Amino acid sequence: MKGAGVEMSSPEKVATVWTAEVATVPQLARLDMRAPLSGQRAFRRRAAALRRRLAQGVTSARVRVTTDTLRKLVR
Amino acid sequence: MVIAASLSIVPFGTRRDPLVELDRELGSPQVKYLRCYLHDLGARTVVVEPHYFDRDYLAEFVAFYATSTVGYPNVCQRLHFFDRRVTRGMLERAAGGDAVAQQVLQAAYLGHIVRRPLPDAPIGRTVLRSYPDHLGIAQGTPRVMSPARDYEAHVAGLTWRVHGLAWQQQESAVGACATVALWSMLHASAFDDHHAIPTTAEITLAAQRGVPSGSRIFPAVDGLRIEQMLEVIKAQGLAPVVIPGDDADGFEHDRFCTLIGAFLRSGYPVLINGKLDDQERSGHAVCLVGFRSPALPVIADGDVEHADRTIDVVYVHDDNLGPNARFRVEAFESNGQAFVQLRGEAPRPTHGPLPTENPTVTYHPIIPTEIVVAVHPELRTAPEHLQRVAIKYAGWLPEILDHESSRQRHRQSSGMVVSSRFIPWVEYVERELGSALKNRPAALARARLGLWEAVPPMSLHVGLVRVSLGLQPMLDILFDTSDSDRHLCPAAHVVFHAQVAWLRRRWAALAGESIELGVQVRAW
Repeated sequence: MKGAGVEMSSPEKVATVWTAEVATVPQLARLDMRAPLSGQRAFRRRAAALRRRLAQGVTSARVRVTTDTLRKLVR
Repeated sequence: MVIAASLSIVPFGTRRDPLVELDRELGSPQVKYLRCYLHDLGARTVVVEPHYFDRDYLAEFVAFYATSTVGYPNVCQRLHFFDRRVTRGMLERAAGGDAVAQQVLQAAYLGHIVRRPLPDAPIGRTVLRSYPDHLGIAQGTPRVMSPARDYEAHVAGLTWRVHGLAWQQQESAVGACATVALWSMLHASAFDDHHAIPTTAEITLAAQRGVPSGSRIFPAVDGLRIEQMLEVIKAQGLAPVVIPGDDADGFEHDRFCTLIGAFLRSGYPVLINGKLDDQERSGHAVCLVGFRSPALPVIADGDVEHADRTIDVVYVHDDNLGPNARFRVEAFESNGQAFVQLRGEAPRPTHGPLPTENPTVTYHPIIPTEIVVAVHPELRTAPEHLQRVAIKYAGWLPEILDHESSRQRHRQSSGMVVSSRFIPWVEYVERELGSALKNRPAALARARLGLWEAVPPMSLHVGLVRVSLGLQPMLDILFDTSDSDRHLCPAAHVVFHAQVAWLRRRWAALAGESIELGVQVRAW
């Protein structure tokens, strides 16, 4: 297996999800990590909704391999 | 008796060019495709090795052609292509040890084609460089060709290297299109450390040994059934994965794209079994060898999506065409649902008009109905399951970032992308982290030592899920792949920013429950 799998035909490095170098992120830098907790009730509802949505995704039915699939002929 | 003969040097595209001769004699789509492909790579010279004993052809010869009264020869030619003018003097200097001449030839080397002495199917093992990708790199959508590997050709004491994946034309006596697709698949970089690559004859024999079809082995005119393909993979000591489409019409678009993205990024080529959208809807197998990275999708605040679900170009080894053929991933509607089809598309010529018609543009679309992949036997996690749990374990981060950003009155986008693949554990620690944290040596040291000292022993191949805000890595979630899918849960997570660790604690405080992501490894 090769690293990010990105073919580099040029010496410059291209940033993709798999090749980006970690750098300071303004969105995160602006967060005050000492801010008091707030919006607990609303957030719990939001978290519960997310849990339900994600659980549905994980248990979604897998497409089964059938005998007919296996016997398909490819010329 | 094979008589010694000189290497010949022929200008590409002239009457003496062996591909031009073959085009004149056969006019086959494979020869036309190769002429167009090499023309667009800027080929200028062909060095013809008059006698070359090819391992694959010799196996085909032993299996079938040797006992034919036609009297097929057992020796092939090998054609080497260069994107500059090559002279006899230059070859002599390189053969005499001149380092500059050797470097010039290597830099110009585009790859090679074995010409078999078979009148109807002369194109044997072919390894060609892929097109330069300056535009894709400039636009942030580079080509991903992870299954490609290095090949070496040895000529008169010179070694010419080319990076690609082997392809060959189907010859119907020893193999079918599925045989050739399997053969290309088993050449992949992912298996470099694993096994010897089987010949097409060995593939056909392994298929018939595991699941006899009832018909004769050679000539292999009946093709292969999917179950036979799986037996071939097992015979190589690898584990077969077969993934059927969503229904008889094939794959739903996003599912297809995220699946092939995960396999190809992991270095595993993807064998596509499908229907050619011609009048007979005939079955056909091709080997996907790469794709173009899609642009990042626009994601709603607080949401998370797979990065590869919008792949729109794939690269295909198709025995009806040639290597690295470009296909667009399109949707077609059937019974109110959108399914995937692959439509051949020629890139715009970059070296002037093409020398012959490009068969890609008139080729029937392929409708994928099944995916078959060979993976390492130690890797027990289904990629589809990894993708599902990737969203499950990543979903909290954009949600809490969105909440905190709005509470602290910083309006900013908080949608994130998630991407998953398999990677050898040591390669993750060495290359992947080394690349992501290249300019942060202290964080790199902490992360590497943390993974080695604080995380329980990991499997040989790990499932890697990267969660990113735009292109910026937020965290990597690592899964042990040596257990069954039922027990798949994160073994460790590497956090790249202090704020991400803080957001996780924040989630626990606000939601009243923690997110189980295994051992936290600090990489900031």
